[in-house]
Amino acid sequence: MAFAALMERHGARALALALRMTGTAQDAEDVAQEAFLRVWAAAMRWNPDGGARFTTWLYRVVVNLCLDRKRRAPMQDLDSVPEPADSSISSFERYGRGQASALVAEALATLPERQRAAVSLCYFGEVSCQEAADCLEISLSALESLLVRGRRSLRDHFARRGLRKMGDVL
Amino acid sequence: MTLSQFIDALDRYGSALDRWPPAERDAARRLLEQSAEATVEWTEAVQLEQFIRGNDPATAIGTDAVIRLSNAVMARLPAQPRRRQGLWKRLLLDFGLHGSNLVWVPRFAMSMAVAALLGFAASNHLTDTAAQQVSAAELLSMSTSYLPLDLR
Repeated sequence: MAFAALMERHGARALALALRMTGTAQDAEDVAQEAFLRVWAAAMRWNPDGGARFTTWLYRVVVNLCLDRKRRAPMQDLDSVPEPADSSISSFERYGRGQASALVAEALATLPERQRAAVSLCYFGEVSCQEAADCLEISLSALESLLVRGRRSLRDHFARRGLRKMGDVL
Repeated sequence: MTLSQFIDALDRYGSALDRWPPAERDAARRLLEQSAEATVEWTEAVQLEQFIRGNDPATAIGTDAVIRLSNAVMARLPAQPRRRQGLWKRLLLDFGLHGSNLVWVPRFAMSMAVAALLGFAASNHLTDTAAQQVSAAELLSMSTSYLPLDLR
């Protein structure tokens, strides 16, 4: 079936974006499922001649679902919040434990949602800045402002974690 | 371009200079040739992006997750309405003469029965040549090419 082929082609990207946005595999799967169901329901309204790429449309649906999910999520009990990572652990030890991906996930999680969406789309999403702006339904200059703040926050976060220079782990 | 403008542009456009607007890219390249500090800033920006891209939290997503997603979505899709079939197609389906999901024995038996019925119907319309008033000589003349023979 054509729709199954569509999911086979774009499912990994939708899951990846949802995972970067939500931070958990279960939430990412739920979001990706809902996104494809919405794509199915709205497929008749999508006009490929309108200039929009299918991936832009799909990413927009995924990002909006992630933002909605975050808004609906109940406030976390303070006691359940994990203690911040011990910054006395050196960057080499951290990297040696194979936790670099966790470190990136942790850094992304500290960003406000729209900055996280902008960074996720532009760093990993294989889309241009203009397409990322279309996904977020904002202007290109607004997207660039989000990226500026996002990059600075990431750099500050890594610095607080003891990675003063990325050369420490590369 | 000053160092501070260069750092702002790095945050705005990223470390890939070829993706910068042309005027700012050219100014940045000239600055990089002259300023060691700018080179340090640019190198750190490149390394930050490499670190983030190289340690994408989503690299753990495998084909099994995509298959699971696809199966879950397909299971939740509303059932498609059955396409309307023509009367003849439905009749043929009912009699086992159409469709690939039928066993071959009833299909073969039905085909033979239809063939026998057609044969019986056709036989009723055949004319009996023996009943006609045709003489043996006339039959002989029709069956031979020896026309000069005049039997009358």
